[in-house]
Amino acid sequence: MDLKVKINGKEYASDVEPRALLVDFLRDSAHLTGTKVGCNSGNCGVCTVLVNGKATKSCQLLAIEAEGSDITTIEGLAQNGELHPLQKAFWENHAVQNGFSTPGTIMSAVELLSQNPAPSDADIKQWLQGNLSRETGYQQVVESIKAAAAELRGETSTNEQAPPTSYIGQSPKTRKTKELITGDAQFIADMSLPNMLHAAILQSPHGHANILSIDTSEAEAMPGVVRIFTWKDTQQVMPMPVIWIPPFTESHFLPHPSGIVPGSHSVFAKDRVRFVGDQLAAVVAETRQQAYDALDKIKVEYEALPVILDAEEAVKDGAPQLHETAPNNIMIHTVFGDKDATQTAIDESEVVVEQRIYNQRLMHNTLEVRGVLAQHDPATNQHTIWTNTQIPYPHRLLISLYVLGIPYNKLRVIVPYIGESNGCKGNLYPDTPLVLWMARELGRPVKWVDTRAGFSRNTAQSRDQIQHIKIAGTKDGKISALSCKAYSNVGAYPVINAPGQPLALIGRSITGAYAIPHASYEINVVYTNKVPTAPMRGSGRAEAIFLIERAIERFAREIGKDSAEVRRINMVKSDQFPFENGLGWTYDSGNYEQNLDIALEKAGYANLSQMKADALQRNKLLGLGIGSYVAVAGVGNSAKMGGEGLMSGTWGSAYIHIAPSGEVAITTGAQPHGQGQDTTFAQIAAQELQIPMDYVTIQHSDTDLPLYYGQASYGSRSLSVEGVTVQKACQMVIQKAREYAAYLFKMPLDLIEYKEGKVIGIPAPEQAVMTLQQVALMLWFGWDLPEGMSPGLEATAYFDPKNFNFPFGTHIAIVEVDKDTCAVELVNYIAVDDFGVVINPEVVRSQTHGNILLGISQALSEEARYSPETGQVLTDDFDTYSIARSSWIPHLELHRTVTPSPSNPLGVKGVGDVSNPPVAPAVVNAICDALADYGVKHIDMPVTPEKIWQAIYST
Amino acid sequence: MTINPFEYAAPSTLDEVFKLIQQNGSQVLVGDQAFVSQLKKGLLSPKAVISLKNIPELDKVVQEQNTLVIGTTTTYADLIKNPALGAYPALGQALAAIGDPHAINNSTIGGAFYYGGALHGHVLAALMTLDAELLIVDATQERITPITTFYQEGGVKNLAQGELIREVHIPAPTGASSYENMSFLGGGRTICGVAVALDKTDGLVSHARVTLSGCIAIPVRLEEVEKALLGAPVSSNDVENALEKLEAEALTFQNEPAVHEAYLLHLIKVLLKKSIMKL
Repeated sequence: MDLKVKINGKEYASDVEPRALLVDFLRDSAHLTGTKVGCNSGNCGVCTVLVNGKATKSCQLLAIEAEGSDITTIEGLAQNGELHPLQKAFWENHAVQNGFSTPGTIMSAVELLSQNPAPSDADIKQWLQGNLSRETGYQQVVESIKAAAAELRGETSTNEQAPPTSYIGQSPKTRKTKELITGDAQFIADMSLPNMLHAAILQSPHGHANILSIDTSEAEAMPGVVRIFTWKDTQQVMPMPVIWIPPFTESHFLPHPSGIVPGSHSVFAKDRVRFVGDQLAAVVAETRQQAYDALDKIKVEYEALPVILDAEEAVKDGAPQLHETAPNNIMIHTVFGDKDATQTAIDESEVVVEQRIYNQRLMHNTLEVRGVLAQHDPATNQHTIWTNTQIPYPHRLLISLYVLGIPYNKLRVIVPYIGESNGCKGNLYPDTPLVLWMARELGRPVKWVDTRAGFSRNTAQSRDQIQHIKIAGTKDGKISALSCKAYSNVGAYPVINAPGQPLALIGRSITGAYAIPHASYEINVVYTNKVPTAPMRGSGRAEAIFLIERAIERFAREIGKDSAEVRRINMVKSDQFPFENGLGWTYDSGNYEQNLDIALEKAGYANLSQMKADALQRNKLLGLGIGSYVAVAGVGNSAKMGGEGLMSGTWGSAYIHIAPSGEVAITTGAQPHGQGQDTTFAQIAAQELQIPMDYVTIQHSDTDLPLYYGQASYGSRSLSVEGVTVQKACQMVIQKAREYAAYLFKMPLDLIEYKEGKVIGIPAPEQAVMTLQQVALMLWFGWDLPEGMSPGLEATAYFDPKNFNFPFGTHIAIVEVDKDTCAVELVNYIAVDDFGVVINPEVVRSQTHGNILLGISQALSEEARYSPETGQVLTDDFDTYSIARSSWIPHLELHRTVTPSPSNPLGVKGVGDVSNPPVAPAVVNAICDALADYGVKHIDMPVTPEKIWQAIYST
Repeated sequence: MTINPFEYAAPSTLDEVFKLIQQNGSQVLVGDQAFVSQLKKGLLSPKAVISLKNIPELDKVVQEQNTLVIGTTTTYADLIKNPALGAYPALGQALAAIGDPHAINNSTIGGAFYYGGALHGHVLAALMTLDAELLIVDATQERITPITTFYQEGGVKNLAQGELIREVHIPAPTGASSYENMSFLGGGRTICGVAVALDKTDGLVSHARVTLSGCIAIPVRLEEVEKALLGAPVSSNDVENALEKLEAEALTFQNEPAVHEAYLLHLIKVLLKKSIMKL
């Protein structure tokens, strides 16, 4: 049908199908891809545009219904090259991280400010009910909207930043952000190639079933279908590899033909499905709509098998078995620490408290789903994949070597702008090599972008651990022993590095911030018919810190002592560093009590009983909860990680090149996905090279960049490993510049200093001086070089830290529980973190907000639910999987201390996910404190009003 | 993902609308976002969609004598701004409970009846409590149907092929009203909501209308509770006694999100008491 609309002031006419949604029309026909697709069910708000000035989620409107409307998208906000005040404010207030949700949030705010020129925090949070932020949090968004409102009222001057004298410790506006706030940034779903085909992938409706037959005949006859692939078409494709094989115990994986590593699932299931994300077939068609239309016509005959979803049940005799290679569904069983000595210490203790905790299964539920675009050039045999992964270099290696068997040097992996990952995009999924395989088979580029429901079934989930805990000690509060027997539910297959999470990351971390003489962790890593798991923000340390912080709280209550005091008694003291925690970590530096004390003071801990009494007057039960933590960060060291079982180096790498023009290009092995490394790494380089930051470009996201060996970003490693490598690379070119200057100036090397971007001969600073640019130019000419010196000013640096680093801190949550409805309201939240030396405080603040948001959401709301009969994922949209919204989150009060890490020369510690672990225990401790008078000792997450009601009234 | 293909027409006269909606498989579209949700979930699979967007007379809020008349394509955004709403606190509070501005901008009063769903539950509950009626028309005749009888056994709607929900009529209020709800952590996903309207004579309840929403597929009047409230003052004890009758109501809870029935009953009582005691 003919559709005429005005978009951003321009008339558009197009032929649309009546069923086409406005969002698809905007993106596919008008080619305005700044409007994103997130949940596709009107929940997340990333598709928000203005229709006749009204905020509208364009996934909830038929395009044809917009006939005659005046539509404004993010692309229409900037006028004559001048950013809209909201765009400016989001940038200046560091409200943009990965930026996927930014356009929709800004568009929604445009309508708010048109109605309310001076909104309060509460007005803004209320208005943003329909716009989710999964990773950025809401506080900086609220601040931005207020700042924009002020500017629109004419109250502020522009916030020009003076050129800094030092780069480290400053908060310049983040780079690669303008394109995110204007909608110009291309995410995977926004990309297209000439002659491109579209794929849709069929998943199983059964969590466990035999496949009797697959009939694709009707689907093949559907319009636009080019080819349908099943297992028959991919028999040369190898299964996914597993690259985490603990050397200290037996593992039960699947076979892999490489003979080098064990295997996992295949691109297509052949005769049996073991979870609902197992892939059965893929349709490739001319349009995405045609591919999905045809997908519905594929007929599969199943014989349903009994499903097993609970890890503790799965290990029992008689439980349905998933893999012949894994008796009793056990992938790995092992123990960290001395189990017998710990049990003896427990037996000899005055007080023992036992608690079973279920750290529930979470879904990463990034607002951006996953997607792949692949191309093969038969003339050169060049394979190219564009995908939103946080591990491009491992993708290149694993796909070429272990999955498709193609030359490493003929595979290029490119990461476009990437929405948040939360960890789920740090995995290798069968869909990725499959799309490349199909592109090669068909001789045309193929693109696959998942649906929200598809994502809920194929994309890794996380947490899901049952813990049986014993904590023991004296009546006066000294803890003597801690043991945990755990069952980790890792789903149907061993996804590449997933076995690592329930092992070292939890097992070596369970003593938290405390010196506990005896500790042990016994773990069963168990297969079930759930979706496979992978690390998730806070990974492993979140489960460990929840465990110890709940346990210490329970212990303190048991002995009738103040839990803050019990923490203080047992905390590692500031003079004990480096501290061996007895489970394998060596804590690098810290002052744990200091952060606890600051947090208590800021929270008004001394007035707690008065706060409780006041709340009770309002029919509210007030509770305060503490979460103290230490979180291992900064993966490598490579040898240590190898000892844990990771079949990969974990060093950092960087290649620096100084052009004859003086421009500095640094390629990093990190893979930013919202953490701002483009900015922070440039700050490091500018500081080290003592040149303006504008001279420095940071490059990444493409394995063809001049860095042959790269790693990835995960587990809060980027800054303290890859960032330190940037510093080292700068030092290497400075060294070469000095050596070259020594030769030219005919002075000994120790009389050449590097200062303010220049090499200077100290005896004759006026005459013997060259800028870095001049050195780069002369070295590029190469006319006159000392013996043995190569031309050019470049270096490849590696950094493999000797130890991890250990950020720490204390968070405090204050909640009020309504005595009647049992609803929980977070009334105050204080975080006192120590991330060592901080490069960019605002970037760090943004990351901390994201961590707290996720922790609150886990504590109160999130949980993946499954049908016990079929193993189907029931929480396959944002109606059923509830993510924290703006109005849940109080003003977060963030404080920081600085204890440099000795693990790296910058003194930095990890930031990205480390402040997540204390959040959920702080919130749950607060709720349990509020309910203490009712005898409530523990409630498993998510702590819903219903569970609270059951806890306090059903007894 | 897949929405089945359909024909689409947006006629500019009601005559054309009536002609088109007589066809089997046709579905009226009243400019409401829940329609698209229903399509995506496969709950609606029309052969033809007849949009009312080009019939301006269906988008109106007018006072006709003692009745507030709301045209079927009137958006909640327009309704919320209308000063006439001041006489119907339950409806104003129900609209405010929706939260998400997109939903307020893109939901219509007709959509509440055509497509329903969680978001419309607030408004439906308020309308039931306010004794609202529907003006249902076809090519030749019109009829007025109370909302309570519009929904029949098993959620079947009293609406024939070829008929159109043209207007919602709300009679002048005879007493005070209110709406209370509890959303899941204020996230817009309602666990349950209650709308209450009371008339009082000499301090005693003379007429009570109580509707429950959120935890059930279609809001329902709680007739046993209504009866129990009659003749008593609005005191804490009397209300609590009346709420004991909740157990006598035949309620089929919609177990998504999965919430325990006992807690729901508790919550309904809490919200009802809060709502009633305000009046």
